[in-house]
Amino acid sequence: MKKKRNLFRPFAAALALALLLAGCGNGDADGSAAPGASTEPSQSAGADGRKVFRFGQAPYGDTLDMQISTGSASAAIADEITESLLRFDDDNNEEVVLLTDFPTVSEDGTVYSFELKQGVKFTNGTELTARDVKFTFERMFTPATGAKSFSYFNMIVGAKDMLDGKATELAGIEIQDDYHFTITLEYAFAPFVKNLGTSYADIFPEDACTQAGDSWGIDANLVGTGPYKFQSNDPNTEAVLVKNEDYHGGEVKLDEIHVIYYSDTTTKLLAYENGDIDACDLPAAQLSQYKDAYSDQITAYYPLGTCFLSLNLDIAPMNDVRVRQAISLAVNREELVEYVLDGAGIPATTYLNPSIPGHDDSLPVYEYNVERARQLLAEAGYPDGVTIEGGMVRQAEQTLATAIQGYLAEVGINFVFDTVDNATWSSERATGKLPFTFITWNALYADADFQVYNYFYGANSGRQSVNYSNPEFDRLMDDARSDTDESHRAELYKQADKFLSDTDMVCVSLYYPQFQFLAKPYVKNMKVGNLIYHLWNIDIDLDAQAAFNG
Amino acid sequence: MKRYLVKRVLLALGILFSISLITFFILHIMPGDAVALMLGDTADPNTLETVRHNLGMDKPFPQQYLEWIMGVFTGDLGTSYFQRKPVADLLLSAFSYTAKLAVVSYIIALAVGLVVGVVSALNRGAILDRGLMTLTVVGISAPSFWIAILLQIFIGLRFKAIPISGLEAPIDYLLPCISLGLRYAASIARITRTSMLEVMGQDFIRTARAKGLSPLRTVLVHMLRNALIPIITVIGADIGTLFAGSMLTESVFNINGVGKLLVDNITKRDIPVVQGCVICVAIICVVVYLIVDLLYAVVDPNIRLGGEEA
Amino acid sequence: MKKRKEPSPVLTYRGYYRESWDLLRRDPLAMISLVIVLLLVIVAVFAPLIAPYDPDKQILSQRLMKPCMEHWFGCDEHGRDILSRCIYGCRISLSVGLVSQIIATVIGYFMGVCAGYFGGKVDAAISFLVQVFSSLPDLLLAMALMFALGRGLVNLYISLGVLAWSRTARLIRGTVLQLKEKEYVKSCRVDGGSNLRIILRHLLPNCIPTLIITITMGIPSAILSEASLSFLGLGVRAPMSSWGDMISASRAFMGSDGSKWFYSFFPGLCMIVAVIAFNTLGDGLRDALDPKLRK
Repeated sequence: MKKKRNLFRPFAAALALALLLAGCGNGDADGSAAPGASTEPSQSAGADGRKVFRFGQAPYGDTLDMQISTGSASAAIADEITESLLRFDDDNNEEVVLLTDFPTVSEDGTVYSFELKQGVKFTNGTELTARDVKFTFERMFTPATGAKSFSYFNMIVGAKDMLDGKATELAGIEIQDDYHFTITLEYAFAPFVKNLGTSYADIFPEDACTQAGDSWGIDANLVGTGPYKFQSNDPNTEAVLVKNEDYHGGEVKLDEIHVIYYSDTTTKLLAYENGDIDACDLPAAQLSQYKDAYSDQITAYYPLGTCFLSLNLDIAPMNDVRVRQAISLAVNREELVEYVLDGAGIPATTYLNPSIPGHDDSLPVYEYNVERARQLLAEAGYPDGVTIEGGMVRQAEQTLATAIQGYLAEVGINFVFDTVDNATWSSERATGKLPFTFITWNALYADADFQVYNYFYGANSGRQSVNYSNPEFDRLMDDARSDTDESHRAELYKQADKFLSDTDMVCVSLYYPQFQFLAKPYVKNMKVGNLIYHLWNIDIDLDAQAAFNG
Repeated sequence: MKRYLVKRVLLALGILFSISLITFFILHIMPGDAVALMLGDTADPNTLETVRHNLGMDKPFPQQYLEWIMGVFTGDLGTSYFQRKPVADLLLSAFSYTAKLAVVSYIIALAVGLVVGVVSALNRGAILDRGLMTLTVVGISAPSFWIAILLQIFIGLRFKAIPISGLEAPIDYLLPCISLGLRYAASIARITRTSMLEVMGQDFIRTARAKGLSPLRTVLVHMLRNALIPIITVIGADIGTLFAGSMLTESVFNINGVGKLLVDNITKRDIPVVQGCVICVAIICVVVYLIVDLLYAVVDPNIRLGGEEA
Repeated sequence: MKKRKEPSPVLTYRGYYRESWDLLRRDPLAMISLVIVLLLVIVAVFAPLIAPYDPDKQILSQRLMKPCMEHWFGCDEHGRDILSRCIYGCRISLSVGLVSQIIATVIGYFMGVCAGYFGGKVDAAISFLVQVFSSLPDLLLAMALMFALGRGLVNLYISLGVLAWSRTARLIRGTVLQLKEKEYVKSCRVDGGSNLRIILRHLLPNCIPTLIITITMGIPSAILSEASLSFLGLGVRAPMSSWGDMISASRAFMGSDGSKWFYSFFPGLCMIVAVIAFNTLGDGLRDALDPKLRK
């Protein structure tokens, strides 16, 4: 008998351990999943006449403090809660939000005078004043904040001193009274007011932001003047936003917005099919699977970007313009867009995106000519083909890169790349030594400065691993930056683009991306500005919703 | 016994310490860091340096490790670079999912495995036995993520009521648990069958049968109990692979567990989070091995006395 | 269980292996898996002759084509023939399995012999290392190493090899501990034989059966680990493609109704055929080479 008891004891212990693990597991989960997280997110939608919009998107992964985050997934949520002085509407035109009018500019283009709207309240009850604007920018330039996007604003007088730790106050912003202030720049910078319209210039309430400290932007810790405010936010499961009853821009259309986070696209789309969400993004890879069954629910939109093969001009054989032209000639862009992207794109004609002033509308799609490509390679000294290696692509671009690899093999170019994770890619590219990669470079707004200057300007192209240096091109950039005449600027950018896309063929432009989203028929006014969803415009047609749900 | 216990616990601590050092080193030599990614595409080299300095990445390796390990002793696992939250908080929430998935999968696997093993043993040589044993071979050899994808394609996408992601409602457990538990069910079934067959030949079983006990009772009371020891051995050995398997299963089924937290953050080089995940998995494995070892010592005095009385 | 006479102190190699071969030949399952393994090896070696198409030739208009007479396994997202890619994938899986196990065996044998033969502090240190390495899930460390080394075939060999040594080391240590007490080893020591001579001349031949078994059993787990790593995006470089890579890529193209099942299914099928064959062969070899190793 004794033997038997000994044999049974370990089993009982193991069972007890298993139950213990199970028990503690359940306990933790109940605690963490509490705020607003449930499997059936919002069954109440429409049932009691309330307008609830449920949006599925990838988890933003960092923070909603737009001084720190640079992601469009963060911006889509943050933009409902915090607002900038100005913003871009659905057609990429700038409009005033917290101001009575566009600022006036001094003759030399360095002093901007602003007037704030009166009676605008943050959702914590305090009123917006010029003090908050100054606080916002001072916070941005304080090194301890760790702001990422200050380079769009560091031409404000005194910004560099703050960033270097030499000052704690921003000399370039002067407050006249609660509603009037001026911003002084070190030099004339034409796109400045446009930069103020991005999410990176969201205005924060001084008291609430100071009080929150490091936790500002984490979970539901965000207060602004926007149309919605947080009820809850668990960055892994769901955010619930509710109407701001005191919104300064008039009646807010929806009662609630639920943003439900899905890190897996397939899952998100199935949730849409099941009716768990009302709208979500539809990536090109899945377009073919949905375009027939859901054609009436798909809306295409065109961000202000270009997808291209970025080449390092310091490295052979890409240092020879004929090789770059041969690469371009080897790619059948129309076929690429039709099959690899399922039609979700426009074959490129030049580097500048068609919606950006300066784009030359007269150009045809880049030629596809295998014979000519081989000939150019031979002229460049590679009659038997050549190997281009050492490039890195990210997982998201692997399908595209593999397709290009296939095209280049046809003309005798052995195109060897590594697929790496985002961190390796970013670090490697910043060294300036990455031979080639694929990237979609998006402008923040419809202005060529961002799309061209930040990538190809002599002083900047090194950190993008391009190393393009052409004094003529750089001079065009400098002139365009300080020119306040928009049509003249566009002409300068057109000339600059010709260098990039034709004469020097600095990069091999492939296509202008088309993105699309799915939205149920009862969702009204769903729009995307550039890459950021403008959820503030959305309305729900309750009758249509009831009819749709039967 | 007490000396053995102290010795084993010290050994376990030594192992944990070594693992933390090894992972810290590997993470340190990994190419790329979080900063360039964090700052986006337009950051200039000076800013990169400043942020690296603020995060303490420019300190020498031994100093970074010492500071980290001192933090661990005070319960501070550091702060996530990207999410800016304490790593301990992230781990706690993720661990609850992993534990639920692993425990439920294993319990189901245990139940299914025992039943299949017993049925097979009782029908030794019959078609049923052969069929089940063939299935177990497939179960052991198929990678969990492949099973997971096939389940999604052939069940999840066909029957919309069966979810293919998340782990909240009971029905959510169905597919992840099958894909994770299959190989354990298969190996438990094989072991159960083998040990049952060994026990069935022994005298006391024949005696029991002769005394007129029903076959079912014979199985439950005598055979199964004697077959349990080898099964418990396997449970200890399975725990490590169970966590490795859950890493892939969590990724496929979009479950916010430790495995997914690790996979998501290693690609972003969010080092404090990755380090936390590895040490969390290591602690679980080492503790389970420790418990299993101690249980043996309780059962079998030979282990601690050095095998003198065989 | 089959009875067999105790092997003589210094193995009479030919007799011992012939006897094992006879045992193996009488095991039908092992023989079937041996045939499958040989077939896989032939497929891997002669892939260019066997594959119906160039595995990297993209024909975009055949994108995700369903299985048909021309393309038995269908086509992938670049219109490449999945069957041809599976055939070339066999090369990668088998070479990863074999090379990583050879690396693991060399390290494991050396560590195991040192631990068992020298004993004392050496043994304690090596046993501790073995415990450290077997305390973590293999995949976790392999993943970390792959991130550190980068993608690529050679790095796969290294990562999987470096991690699999602990099992071999443990088994070899056990074998050596037994052998050390044998008369012929003792007498060689008394005669002043150098340690290296004993390790290579006397211990190695006696460990070979154990090594054959660990290599055969290690290959399928290396194949599975490689697939898992590839699934996490840490495999070989494009356009080369292993079975795991293909399964991983297929995730984005399941079709909302699951109609593109073939893309995930066939590469996985190839993989489990290979894994089952090696596992079963390993079982058979274990029974044939050393009945005492059976659990």
